[in-house]
Amino acid sequence: MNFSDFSFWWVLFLIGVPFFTVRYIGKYLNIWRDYLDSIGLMVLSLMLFVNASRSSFIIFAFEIIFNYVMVRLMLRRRGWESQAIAATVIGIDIAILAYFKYVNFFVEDVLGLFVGGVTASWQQRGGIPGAGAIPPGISFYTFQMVAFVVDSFRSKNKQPIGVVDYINFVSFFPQVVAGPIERRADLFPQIESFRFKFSAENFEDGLKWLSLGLFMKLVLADNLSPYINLQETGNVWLVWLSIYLFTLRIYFDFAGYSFIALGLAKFVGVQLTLNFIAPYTSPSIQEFWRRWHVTLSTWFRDYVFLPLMGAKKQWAAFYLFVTFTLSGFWHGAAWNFIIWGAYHGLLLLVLRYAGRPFYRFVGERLFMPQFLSWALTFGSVMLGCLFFMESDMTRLGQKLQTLVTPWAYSFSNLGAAMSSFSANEGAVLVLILFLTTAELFLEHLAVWQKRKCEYDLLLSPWLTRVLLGLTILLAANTPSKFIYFEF
Amino acid sequence: MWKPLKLASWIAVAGLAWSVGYLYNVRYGGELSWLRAMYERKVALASQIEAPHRLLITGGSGAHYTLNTKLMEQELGIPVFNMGLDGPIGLDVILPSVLSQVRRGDIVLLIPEYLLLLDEDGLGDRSGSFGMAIGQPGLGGIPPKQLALDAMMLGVPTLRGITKSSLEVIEKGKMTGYYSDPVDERGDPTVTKERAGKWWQMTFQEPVSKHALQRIAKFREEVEAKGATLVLSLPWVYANGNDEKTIRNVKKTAEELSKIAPLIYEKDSLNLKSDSNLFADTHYHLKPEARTIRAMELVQQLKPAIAAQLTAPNSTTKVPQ
Repeated sequence: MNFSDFSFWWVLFLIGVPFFTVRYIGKYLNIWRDYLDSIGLMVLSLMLFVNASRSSFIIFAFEIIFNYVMVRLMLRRRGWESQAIAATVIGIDIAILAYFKYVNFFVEDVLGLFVGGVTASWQQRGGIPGAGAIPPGISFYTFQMVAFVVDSFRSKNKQPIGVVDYINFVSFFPQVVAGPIERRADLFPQIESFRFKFSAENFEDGLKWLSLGLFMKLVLADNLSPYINLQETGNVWLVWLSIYLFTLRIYFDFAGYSFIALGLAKFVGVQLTLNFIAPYTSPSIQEFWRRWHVTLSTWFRDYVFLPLMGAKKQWAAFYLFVTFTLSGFWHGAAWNFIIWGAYHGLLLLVLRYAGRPFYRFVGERLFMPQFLSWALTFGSVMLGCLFFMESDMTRLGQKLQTLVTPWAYSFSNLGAAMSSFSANEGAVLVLILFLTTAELFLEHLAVWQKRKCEYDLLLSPWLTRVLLGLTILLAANTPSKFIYFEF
Repeated sequence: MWKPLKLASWIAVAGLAWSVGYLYNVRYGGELSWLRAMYERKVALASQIEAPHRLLITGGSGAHYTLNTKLMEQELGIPVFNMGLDGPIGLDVILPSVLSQVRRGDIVLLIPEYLLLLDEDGLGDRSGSFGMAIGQPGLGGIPPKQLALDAMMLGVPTLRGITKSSLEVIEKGKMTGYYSDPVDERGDPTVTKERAGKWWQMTFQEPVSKHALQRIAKFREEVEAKGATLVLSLPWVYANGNDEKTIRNVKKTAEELSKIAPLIYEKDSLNLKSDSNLFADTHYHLKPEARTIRAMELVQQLKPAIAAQLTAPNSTTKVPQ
């Protein structure tokens, strides 16, 4: 769901208010039956999905019915039959995803490399129906459905699953479109025979996460967005500035989304997985991936890396590289995402083989080696963001060339970069950077203090209320799209 | 803390922040506050004009920044008042907000910019917020969803808005906005804004929208129900007068508008101007010397309509000299 689209809140309000009024009266008169909570949640989730995207809903509805029927069948069978059903469901789920997301890329960018004229004639024909227009949320709900099939296949509990429970599991409105990608073991028990658990604690917790999420998205990410200039290739300072701002924006954008989802789920008494754990405090790339988009990283670990590697542990490094490259490809059907994935795979390999000796070497000779580790990690993530944000390969090449040209780092270029902003634009940028730095500092502080949660300080009662106030006062009036909606 | 009190504190914080934002946006400092103040000032000035016949000119900023009403008043011999507002308010809100000022015997000249004429739904970015700011929420039939969003946004000043105003307070000692310059006693602006960016000639890919035609036709009925007369004019615009599609669309627009009410414009040029020196900061706003030329042109074009109004059977009063 697009939480920065007013339409989401409007539909939530229009359905929620009458439903909960009827529920309240029903409870008061003692005629409300518990199963109506499950049905209410299902209707709410599906209506919000229809509102978000009608075209995607048709595919989603088909996948729900297909997956439910097949999983039910799978749970009744044993041995190779059960395995064959699981393989078929996963194959078809991935094929649907590939159809919408990757067909154009394979024809135009891969096949086009070897067969001349293919791209032009493909584009002239307009491709095949639906391909290239990625239905919102398809990547996320496909992964959640695939994980459910695997987990159900592996589960010792082969009890049949209720259809309403299954629909609620895959369509739970706070997280269906952009995650967190929930697992059967984490979410299903909370969703099974669902009951709304409205309590003051749930509201207080929910409001805290909601405030933090809204602040990150509407104040930080959306105010940073207009300063990211993808067209600039010549001025090295502006190129670096855009990379830096994009690095900040993508975190605040996606973490903001995840925290809003977490807050909304808490209102109704559901605990979602924390998808971001202060990733920019990481002193190594390995740790960065333990903190960034956690549910996707663990999905790739459990359903791609481990099955690929199997017993061949000596090839772990190779499979790690392959998994990260695939993860990059999941983010988008474009070369830059593949490069981004491979780049992170390589960084992990470098860390695996050279990390310890390097850290020992630095530790013996330099003051504050931890700070250096953090700076190197953040710098590497930033450079990776260049590959992530720039889908135009020609421009990407130009930018890389600019970044490695020593004389591009001149004072005249610096002056030109600074004078490219008006006084008002410059002041706004300074203020946003101040706010982002303060936010990141509080994450660092919580990590240094070894608090239970990295967002403890930001979630303190008084600060969350301040964040809500600041969000109302400082939110950008033209919200930018969620970056992860395009994947 | 007692639980209900704990939750109430969220509402208190949100309410306080929203109220501060509302005061800034609508009352003191935000762009909307200047627009509201300009509208209220114009309404107050217009209502003070005691005359049996007035010429009220309205539209968006393409009316507000293009007139010399003093000159027009001298030439026409009746009071002339500039009720031009702001394009993003939208035709559906501009027209009813002006209608309340129309009196029996008035001549209303509507000069809508193409922004208003081409718009498919008659609503703009400021439709809802303007209606609420002037105390008439829902003016123009704004859909409830849009109205709810606009109401919520009334309390959101934005980081950009607050920073701009803060810098102005430091530099100038006061907050300003696009419409913060005072208007004179006839509603004309007192300051001319200069263009900083590059010019390009506008082209029009579509003729007037069906919605705009329907709304203007309805406006004519509303004006006439009050015993006044509606006259329409094409705006002066810096545009490519050699572009065939543009010419075709403007001709079509003129043809359709003239079916609703008398339409005044320069037949050869279609009011498409190729000289950017005439224009101030936008493709519609005119420099003072161009306003004089435009005012004289309007006087010549309006004389027959005014004469007809003054000699109409129900026009019982004489024109003040």
